Amino acid sequence: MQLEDKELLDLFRESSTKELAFTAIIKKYQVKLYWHIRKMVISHDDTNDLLQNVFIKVWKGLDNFREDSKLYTWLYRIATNECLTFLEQKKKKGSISLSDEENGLENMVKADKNFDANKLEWKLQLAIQKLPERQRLVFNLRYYDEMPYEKMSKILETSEGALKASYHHAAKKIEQYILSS
Amino acid sequence: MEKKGNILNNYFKKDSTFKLDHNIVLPYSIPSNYFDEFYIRLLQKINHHKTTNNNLNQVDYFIPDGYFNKFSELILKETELLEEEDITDELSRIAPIFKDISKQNVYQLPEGYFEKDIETKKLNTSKVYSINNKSLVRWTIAASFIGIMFIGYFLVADKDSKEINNKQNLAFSKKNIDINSSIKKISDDDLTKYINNDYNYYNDDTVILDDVTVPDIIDKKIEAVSDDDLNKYLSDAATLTNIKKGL
Repeated sequence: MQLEDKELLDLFRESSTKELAFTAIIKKYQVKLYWHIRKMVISHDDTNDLLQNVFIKVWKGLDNFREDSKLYTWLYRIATNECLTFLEQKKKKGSISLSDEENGLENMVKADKNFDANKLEWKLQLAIQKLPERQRLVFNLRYYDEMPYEKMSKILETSEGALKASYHHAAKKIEQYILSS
Repeated sequence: MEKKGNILNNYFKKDSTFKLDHNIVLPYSIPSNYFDEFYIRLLQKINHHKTTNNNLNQVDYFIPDGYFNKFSELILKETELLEEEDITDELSRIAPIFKDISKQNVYQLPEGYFEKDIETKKLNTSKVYSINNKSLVRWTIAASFIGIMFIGYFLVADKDSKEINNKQNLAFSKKNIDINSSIKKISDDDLTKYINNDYNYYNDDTVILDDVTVPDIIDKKIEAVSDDDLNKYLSDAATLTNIKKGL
């Protein structure tokens, strides 16, 4: 039986149950956050590092978490920021342009041992990597996580209208890419 | 009112064109007789507004027929659109191609990845420090600088200190050789004479030779002198002094 976030937070604030509650939080959200990060950075190793960073930050910040937002939203926001920072650093590190960075992610998709260029699912992955980071985030959250715009707007701190437009553009671009490839 | 209107009418009829002073010619052209009936056109426009809206500030924009009747319907339609649309319906509306693509996850996880307690292990063992490119460059420069300083110290400073030490050792050993050989060359008599003549110079306990101070040597020498020798020495010395004085 999974505990509610509120209960987990209350347990976390008790020193005797702190670690237990934190482990429960990890177990509750690790899979969702893993895939949220993985879809952004593609590599499992990078995802693993980022996921650990996310939970370390959660551990450090959970005492000061004021519950203005839901735990779920807060976790996703941390993970999203980690992804964006990582991708930004990666760009700077290699002194590469945005287009090169996108090609880099595409190459990572192509390097996957199961990659099959003829399969629509893989074509979709290649098309997603062509999107700008923010659009990619919106598309992934909506398409894969089936997240309502309202939740998404809290995570990405963007208006629902802007998110809808972003998702619309992303889906259109992907369609065009798949049709032309 | 009518009177004022006639006055204005006559004024414009009388002076329908503007004459510019000082023969200034402007490059702009005005349609012929533009000002002749300008006031009439203006008054007509004012009267039109007065009769239709009774409001001079209202702008004459076009509004579709029955717009306000359908306005409430329009608002309701918009609010419906703002409601959360079904994800599948939304996507099929935007890009129908997604109907043919399954949501199957193409990426794979290492086996048993989530079974390991990666999180607690990491928390208890080490911190994660993210070093960005800029700070990495700074650290590299700082490390190189420290390295150069360190190597420089051993190459230059150490060499200097070695040279100084060598010189000191050499000078010291030379000194030792000189002192030893010189001491050997000096006879006891010469030494005693020297000491007696320059006692004041050695009247300092810091000068030590084989753990015996100069005053010790003098005392020993004095002890060795017999009273007879001393008397003889004193009489000889008195005689010598008298000779020198020419007595």
